[in-house]
Amino acid sequence: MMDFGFSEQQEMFRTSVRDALEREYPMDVVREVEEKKIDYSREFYAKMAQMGWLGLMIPEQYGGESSNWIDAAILYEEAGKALLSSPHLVTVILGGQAILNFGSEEQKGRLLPAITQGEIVVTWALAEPGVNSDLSLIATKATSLDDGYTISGTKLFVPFAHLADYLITACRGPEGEIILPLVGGTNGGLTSVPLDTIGGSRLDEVTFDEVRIDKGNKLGKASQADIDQLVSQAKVLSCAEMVGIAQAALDMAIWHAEERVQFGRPIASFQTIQHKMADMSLAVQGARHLVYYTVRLLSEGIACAKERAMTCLYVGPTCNSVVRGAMHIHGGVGLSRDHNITLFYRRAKAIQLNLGYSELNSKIIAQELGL
Amino acid sequence: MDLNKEGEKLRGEIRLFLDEHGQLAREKGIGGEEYAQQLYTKIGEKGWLGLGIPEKYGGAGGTFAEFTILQDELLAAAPEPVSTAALLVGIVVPPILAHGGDEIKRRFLPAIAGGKVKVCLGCTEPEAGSDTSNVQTRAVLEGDKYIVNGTKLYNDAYGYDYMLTTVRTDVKAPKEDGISMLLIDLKTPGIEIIPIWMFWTPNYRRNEVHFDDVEVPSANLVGDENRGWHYLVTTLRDYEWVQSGNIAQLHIEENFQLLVDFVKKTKQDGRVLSEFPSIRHTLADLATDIEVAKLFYQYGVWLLSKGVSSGMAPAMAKLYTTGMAQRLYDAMINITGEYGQLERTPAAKKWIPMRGRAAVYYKFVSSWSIAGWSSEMQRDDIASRGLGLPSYL
Ligand SMILES: Cc1cc2nc3c(=O)[nH]c(=O)nc-3n(C[C@H](O)[C@H](O)[C@H](O)COP(=O)(O)OP(=O)(O)OC[C@H]3O[C@@H](n4cnc5c(N)ncnc54)[C@H](O)[C@@H]3O)c2cc1C
Repeated sequence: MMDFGFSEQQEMFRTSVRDALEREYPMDVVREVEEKKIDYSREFYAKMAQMGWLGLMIPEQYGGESSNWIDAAILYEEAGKALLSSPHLVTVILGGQAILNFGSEEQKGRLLPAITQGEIVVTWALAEPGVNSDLSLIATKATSLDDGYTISGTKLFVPFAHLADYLITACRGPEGEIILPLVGGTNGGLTSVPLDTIGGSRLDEVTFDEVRIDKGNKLGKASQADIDQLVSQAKVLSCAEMVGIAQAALDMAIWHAEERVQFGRPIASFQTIQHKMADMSLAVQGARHLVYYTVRLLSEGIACAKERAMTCLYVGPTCNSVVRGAMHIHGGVGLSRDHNITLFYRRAKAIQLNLGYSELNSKIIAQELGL
Repeated sequence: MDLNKEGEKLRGEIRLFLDEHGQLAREKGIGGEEYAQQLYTKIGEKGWLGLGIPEKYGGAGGTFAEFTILQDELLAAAPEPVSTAALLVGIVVPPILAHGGDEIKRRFLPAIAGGKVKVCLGCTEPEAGSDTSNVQTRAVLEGDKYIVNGTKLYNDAYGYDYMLTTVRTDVKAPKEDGISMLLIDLKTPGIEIIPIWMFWTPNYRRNEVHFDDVEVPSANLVGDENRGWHYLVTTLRDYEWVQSGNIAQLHIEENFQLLVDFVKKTKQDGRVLSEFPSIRHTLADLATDIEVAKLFYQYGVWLLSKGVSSGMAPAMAKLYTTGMAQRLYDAMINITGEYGQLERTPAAKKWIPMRGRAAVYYKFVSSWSIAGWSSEMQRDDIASRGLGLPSYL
């Protein structure tokens, strides 16, 4: 039988994450990060390092914390409630796991401890114009030189590109194979242009114009399946984040509906509002079940391509409709820029759109069903 | 008037005018508020704002149906402040026409028809949102003046001349029977207008208006004292609902066409989007949805133009259209995926599909099920007035 429980340690972890976020990452910080365009709070990221959050799923020998995907989902759900912005997903999850899975011993020893300490930002550059996930279509080229490569091409929607110490850049190698160089953020020939998003953060268009890197600065071989797995695991955590966002939005709606009086009574007492909120809680709980089911499979090393695709397919639209419902229950007041529900509405949609298009996930599920 | 023939002729004239005027303004480099004001004045001079207003009150005669032709064209091609101002003409004129006395009609209607006076609507208050009868703004008659105190929310007061305002004139009567409608000059001392910035675009503004001992001539009372709420839920709400249904169709055909073109020419991972069966079917559903919404709207207009009881039609027009708009804009942003999240900035221009409509409309659409009274109020109306179910309120 499926275990729905959390260990005492996991419960404690959730409480400590929640407390820290409630104490040190109020909505004022969310607004400040967005309005001042500072991308993330350096101060809070340093705290995250201290609290061990940057060591998730990185082995202790490299400075990490003993933990699994369930712990990571707990962190992301709570981070979603607080609308935390940080390079955690690209640096610790995508970067950390890529280095761990495909990196050399030297790279692991050098980069992973720096990641866990919050000393470096690593990001992931895969998508290109018209290419979302099919690596056979990648056009960014790595041309080989005696002592390294030069890289040319354009990547899109790269988070934290302008701050990154390393961009793990999916390129087409000299023999047509996919290689993953670690492009230094300060290398010459690299330009990034900010693209502002509905979520309030920027994703960059990054151009590589004959960027030179040393031979040693690339990760080992990774297949399409390896990369799909890595990326879709990270997407499951984005789904956990959306569950947190939807839960927080629902909580705000409940609070508002109990406070707001129209027709001589709290609007929460109207059956249509109650049913709407009951449906919203059903939706959040369904999404949460799917997320934690999938991270349990991941933690136990059970193959779960289908469940990962289902999670992305279901959680994105479901959580967004919860947030829309929550906004609707607020009436006019929830549509003014000053109201925090608008931050949730925008962020939830941005995260969903970065999960990739739904046809991709439907296709995987259908394939797994043997269709 | 034969709407099909003469209506199309009028539509053609308006379209041509908007084209030429827009062209001229671009050549002269006029934009923003200045352009909007000029355009509005010119439309007034053309007499089009008077469509539906009898000639003896300075209008062009005809019916509400003709007015909506103007409205459709403005929504498609004029800057937002112009279409909103005209939309409000279609909302505030009917109750004045239906319930106002001859004197007030003579004072206001020619000025409105000529584009010289802009009137906004002030019903909503902190305690009176969906519950429109819970008006707290007080108007006390002293001699030939009302002294008004209170707060109105989410209206267009900024840049407008008058507000058609619901005020409480009798505190002892049942809530619905103590409200009157006043036309308040927004330049009167004691009025403060504060912006409420909405979240969808950087400069979309609603207003919070405070009335502090504001003196209003009693001649500005519309119709009878203490009948204001009844005017609100009959004439005004019907027209507002039809109009709000219309605004939810803002750029709808154009945006849908942008989406169709986008899926035809955009490749994702090597496959043209229009080849995906799910996307094809979504677009087919949306095309149908849009058609139904348009018919709801046109039916509402048709009934109102006949002057017969419009029954459930305005509520249905608004409820259906706002739902359709949400379905369209959900699909639009979801189908465009990562590109759909981009905001309109110069740097993003190269990548942003559909003129950046996806992100803006995804935000904007969330307001249409609230503005012009929420969807729950239309459902209530359909259930009680339409289906005859007992009211629970
Ligand atoms: C863009 C925009 C433009 C506007 N323009 C104007 C204007 O020009 N003039 C003006 O006067 N006002 C205007 N408004 C205000 C608008 O009419 C109100 O916001 C609307 O009527 C809802 O009122 P509220 O915001 O107080 O929400 P509330 O009445 O507090 O409603 C909150 C939620 O509770 C629900 N609810 C309330 N009562 C019930 C019930 N009995 N059963 C079930 N659900 C219920 C509502 O549907 C809503 O989802 C505008 C609003 C917006 C957003």
